[in-house]
Amino acid sequence: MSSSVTTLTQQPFSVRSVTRLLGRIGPAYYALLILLIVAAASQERFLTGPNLTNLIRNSTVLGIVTIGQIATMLVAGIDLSVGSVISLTTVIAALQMESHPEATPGIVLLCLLIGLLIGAVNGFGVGYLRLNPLIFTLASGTAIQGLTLHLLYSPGGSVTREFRELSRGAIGPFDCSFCPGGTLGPIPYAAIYLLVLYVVGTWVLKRTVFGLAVYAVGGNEASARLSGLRTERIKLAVYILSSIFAVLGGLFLASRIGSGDPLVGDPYTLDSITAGVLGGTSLFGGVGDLWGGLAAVLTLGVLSTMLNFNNVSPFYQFIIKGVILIGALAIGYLRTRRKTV
Amino acid sequence: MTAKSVQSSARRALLQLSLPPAAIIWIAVGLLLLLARSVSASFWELSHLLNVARQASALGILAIGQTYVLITGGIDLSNAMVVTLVNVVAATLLRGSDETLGGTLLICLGIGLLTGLANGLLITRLKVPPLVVTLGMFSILRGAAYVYTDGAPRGDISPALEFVGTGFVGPIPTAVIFWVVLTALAAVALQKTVFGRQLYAVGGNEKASRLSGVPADRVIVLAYVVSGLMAAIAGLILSGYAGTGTLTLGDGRNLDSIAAAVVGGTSLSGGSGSVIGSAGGALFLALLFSFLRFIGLPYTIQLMVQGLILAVAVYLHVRSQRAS
Repeated sequence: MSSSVTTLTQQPFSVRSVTRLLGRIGPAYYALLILLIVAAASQERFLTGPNLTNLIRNSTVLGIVTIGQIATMLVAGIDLSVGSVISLTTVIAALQMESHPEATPGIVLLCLLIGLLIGAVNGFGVGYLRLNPLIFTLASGTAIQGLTLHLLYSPGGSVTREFRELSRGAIGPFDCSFCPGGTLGPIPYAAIYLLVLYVVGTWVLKRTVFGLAVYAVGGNEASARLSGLRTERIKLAVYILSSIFAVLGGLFLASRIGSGDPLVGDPYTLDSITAGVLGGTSLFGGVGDLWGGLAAVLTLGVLSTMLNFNNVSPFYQFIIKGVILIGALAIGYLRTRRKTV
Repeated sequence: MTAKSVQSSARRALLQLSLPPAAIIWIAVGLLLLLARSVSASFWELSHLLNVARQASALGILAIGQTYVLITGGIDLSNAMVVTLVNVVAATLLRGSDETLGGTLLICLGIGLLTGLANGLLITRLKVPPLVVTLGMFSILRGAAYVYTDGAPRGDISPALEFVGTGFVGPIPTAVIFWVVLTALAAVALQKTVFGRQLYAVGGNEKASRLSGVPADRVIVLAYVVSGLMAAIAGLILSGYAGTGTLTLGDGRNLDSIAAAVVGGTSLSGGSGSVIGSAGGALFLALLFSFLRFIGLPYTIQLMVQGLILAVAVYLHVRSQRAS
């Protein structure tokens, strides 16, 4: 990161520096840009307020969960428990709100505390006991899935009406002189959540001591420890964050579907890893950032919208997602190899 | 304090015996059997134990391939969807009769072979991490299964495959015979052949193995091909048991196969592991589930216990590695 800053400031503007800069931009941004152009050109309905709002609402859960997943990937870890944490959150939120509708804020707090606890267990196992994160979070995820099914075996419960507004609401419209019709349409809360979480998350990762420590631990754990960082504690914090973000994603999902579903979170585990990897975060730690992840999340969202518009069977999305995932990393490898040769 | 000293002296005793991890899991299987026996004698009826072994056999076969891949330092998440794809393809092609059995078997094994080949080539040629390649392949195969069936699987499994999934040869379930034979072959190949030793060499230190002339790429590709083939065979056996095509037959089996291998003492960082240990791991998990069902715990509690066992196993594994 710092090397890119120095090369850009040292060299005057040149074609080379531009191509170098373009080379640094992750594949997810290109994919998103190309897809957006194709989508806007092929479907006039694509660039309409309702469709974009829908796109963002559909991408919000994955967008939130991916923040936590990227954090664990940055410390060379992985969190396979996020899917069951999401499911557990929807179940607890729906069941509790059904029986105690007046205590909604307390229930939200309860969910966050449960996330804290789960993250602490994951972080303790991975950080302090130094257990393999893949296996340990798989184990905790399995246990949480069991607990979730124990609480609620088939979808049920219901959240309060006010809680539903959290995902359905929007603010605006705003005055806007250069927009068609003179107003900027209503902005969904979901977009604001995503923007705030990604801005704050990026600030924490890039501008705080904690964030730099996360990159240091992921880059080279031994040297991070030798230079006085308490690597165990940093990993503990990262896994707590991952679970908390999973809970936040679960709360949004519960608000959106209006009930609890013990299996609804399942796909988000692998999807969040896909988004992280597609966004340029290395599975080996130390490299990556949140915005690439967001670009990847939106790419997947645009893709599914486009396929829906063109009446392509949604089943093809699985295939395309897999090809994109492998392809993104293969292209990354071919590009770096060309540079070094 | 005393508990700790007992624990450490027990560990020292274990180290002095220098038991291989594969032996420890079989001891655990024995202890679990004794525990089950003390709860109820009927648990030890031969028919019940053989039924548990039958339940373990598909997982055990998947774990063989997973062990090969884990020894190279890789991981295979795609095997679960090979199971699903093989299942829906077999059901669609067979339509309940043995007429097209030969061709169907070839196609199903071909699916496993090609998946493994694609995984291996992408990992070795394009240097994409195994987790990502096999995760992507998982998604591609799931898509293939959905597109192929249009989301609604049709057809039935034929009598011959049903015999493999649910039948008996004498008192022994057919699936168990497949599992035992494949495990024996895989164990011999791992310990006695050049390919087997090369697997350990590549997983232990890939660079060093390359420098000493091991064709590391070919060895890695072969490991994924073995895993794909094992997944196809497990898919056929599970199809025989299920009787029809379903789009969920493979769900969770990738992580289960990793769990069986890890509980059986295979390391996730490559270079160590054994097929015999993984067989013990698969049997242990199947026995445990059967036991939990036996004492009346619901499936949901079983999942929680599975998570706990997995965490404890990986913890003990790390402990023993650090001690030695």
